[in-house]
Amino acid sequence: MKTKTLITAGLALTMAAGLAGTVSAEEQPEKHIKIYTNLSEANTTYHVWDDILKAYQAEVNPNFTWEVEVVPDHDQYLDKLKLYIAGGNMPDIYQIPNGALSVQLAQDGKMVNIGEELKAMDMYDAYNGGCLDFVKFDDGSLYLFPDGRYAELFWYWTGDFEELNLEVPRTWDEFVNCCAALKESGKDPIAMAGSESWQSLRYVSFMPWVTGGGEFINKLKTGEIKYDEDEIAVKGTELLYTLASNDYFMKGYENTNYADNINAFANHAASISYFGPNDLSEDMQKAYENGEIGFFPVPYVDGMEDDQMNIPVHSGKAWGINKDSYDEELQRFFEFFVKHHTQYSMARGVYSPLDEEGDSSNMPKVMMDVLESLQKVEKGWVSWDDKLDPATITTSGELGIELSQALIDPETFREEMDLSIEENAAEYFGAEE
Amino acid sequence: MKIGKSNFRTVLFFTAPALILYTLIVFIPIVWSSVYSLFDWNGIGTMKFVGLKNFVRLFTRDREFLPALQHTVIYTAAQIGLQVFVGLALAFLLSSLPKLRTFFQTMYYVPVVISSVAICQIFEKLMSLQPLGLLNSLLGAINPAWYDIKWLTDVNLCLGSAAFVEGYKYMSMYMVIFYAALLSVPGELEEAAKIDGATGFQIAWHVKVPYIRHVIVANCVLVLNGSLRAYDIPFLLTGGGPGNCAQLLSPYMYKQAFSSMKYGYGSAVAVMIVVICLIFATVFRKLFEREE
Repeated sequence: MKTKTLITAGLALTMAAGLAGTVSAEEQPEKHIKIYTNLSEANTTYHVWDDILKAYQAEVNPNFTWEVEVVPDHDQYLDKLKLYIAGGNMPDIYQIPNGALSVQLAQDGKMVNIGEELKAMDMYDAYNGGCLDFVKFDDGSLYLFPDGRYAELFWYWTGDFEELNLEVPRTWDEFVNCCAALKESGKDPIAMAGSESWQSLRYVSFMPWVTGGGEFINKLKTGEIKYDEDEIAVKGTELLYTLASNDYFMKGYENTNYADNINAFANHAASISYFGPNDLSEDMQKAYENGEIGFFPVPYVDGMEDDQMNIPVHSGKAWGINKDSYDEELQRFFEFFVKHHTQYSMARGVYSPLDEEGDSSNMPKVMMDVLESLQKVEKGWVSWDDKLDPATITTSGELGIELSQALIDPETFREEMDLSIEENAAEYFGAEE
Repeated sequence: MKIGKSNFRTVLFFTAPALILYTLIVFIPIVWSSVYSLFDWNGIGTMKFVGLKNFVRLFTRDREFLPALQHTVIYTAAQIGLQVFVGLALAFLLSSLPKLRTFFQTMYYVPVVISSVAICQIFEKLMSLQPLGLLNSLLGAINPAWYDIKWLTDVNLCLGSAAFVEGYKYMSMYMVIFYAALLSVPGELEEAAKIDGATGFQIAWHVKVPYIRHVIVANCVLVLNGSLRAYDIPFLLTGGGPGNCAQLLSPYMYKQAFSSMKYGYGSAVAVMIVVICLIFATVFRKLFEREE
């Protein structure tokens, strides 16, 4: 397991901060917290956190120290989090997806009610509706807070499209036709991180999401409906199979992770890829400014009206706070974090989950162009890879990868999903009903 | 041999630390897992006693357990071939070197001391398609169709690739053991064979190998035991492979317990791994004891 535990400079800086004389160390309570995160130093948001932690230590409490445990791999991160939960040894602040696991922790009284905390500090309405929507439970309660504001878009090399007189696809049929034309001309149409299950599940879930938001998955997860009962969801499985069986994914995608996928697109190994604007390197930002790459949102399903928001916006992997360790000092830090999140996010050139004005001078053009569209988003993305029960999440990931390699057909995917939900869902969702 | 009272105390004194350690880190966890296997538990809520339901499900409704067992047996056979017999061949080669034996012994031993994670990272890049790894680059220069060989994602290749990497990592450990055993073969046996006109191969096959047979058997048991519980390299390299084509028992146990949060069911799989290891090791030893 790739785990890195950092005893940060915060400990060493305690003395220096005390000596700096901004706040008297003797007056402040000692507090040491453990943060467990999926973010690594390669993620900008990691540095946003680091900046805020250091600012709190320097400006408010020099005796506030922290340690950070990092597990960058998504699946391994979740596995270790489950170990912490089973061992009754939760970190103080940790990332956790909005799904069955976080719901159960909240029900067991192990998580702080973030909604109440934000209302108490009068910051609830400052958050973007879409970002909060992404981390709210089905009953509207809020026990998680957003990591940031992330959008996911399709990126494409404009030259490839111009060469073949292709228009940016508005519907999924047009998208598949674009891929066919690109393939015929000898290009690899799509770069995809085939080894990461959530990427495959994106393609399966695009159609149901763009037509009905979370309606399908929220019914499917409990077994309220069978997969085949939703015609659009069925088309979603057929879409991924079509892309895979026609070799529209780039060579070697089966073993490519997210970072390699973006690098492959940046190196023009494929014409289209799907990722967030935060992941654009400086070279790619320049390429955007030069008109060499462009973006388009999730295509619509043929026949639907195209006035609905179709940019997946989410808040990243949400954060939870351990209720057992939530004392006055941690509460004070959390308030500081919320009230300074926009300032430090924009300083690092990333979006804040709050709809606050700030200094956007560090933000590249592409981020500003995307942000303009994001302001209108009120409904968040609904991620399948954390909505289902834990056993079905594991199964769906494996099935998604198999479907993305055309090792199974769409019918098998749907049958196996139904079977897994039938076997496992009642245990997790039965109590809520 | 009779052990007197004072000798017994001495024996107990020297074996107690190892026995205590073994009990704490092996025996007690096995018993604890066996207890968990009788429950349904997701790690958060309460544990619910279900008796042998997990075991019944394992053998009647689980479509992944038996294929994982099959893959594990194949994987184990590959490890015995790679680690024991290739290790033995390397030991023979090493012992035939007139000079620089220590240098080559050290170089061959390097993979053993490198961590599994690092080895997997290296081979993942070597076998990569995107970007193109060294292995396919070289093979593609011979035959362009070989540029596209999917070592880690082809259902027919990924188990073999993982087996090769694990064999590569550990074969030198057994090479060192065999080398030491070969050095212990009395020189006069070899000389007598030479006088009788035996070739180098005949000396190796008819004199040295029979002499170190007990070492070969012992190493086979060690590899058998380790491979039946193999986890890190197959998991890191393939993650079970597409369609679980490279899924082994230990990663499967991990998946059930920690990914799917079925700690009771995962414990049942763990208990079965212990039982299977005991059966294989016992049968293997009985087979060779009977021959002797």
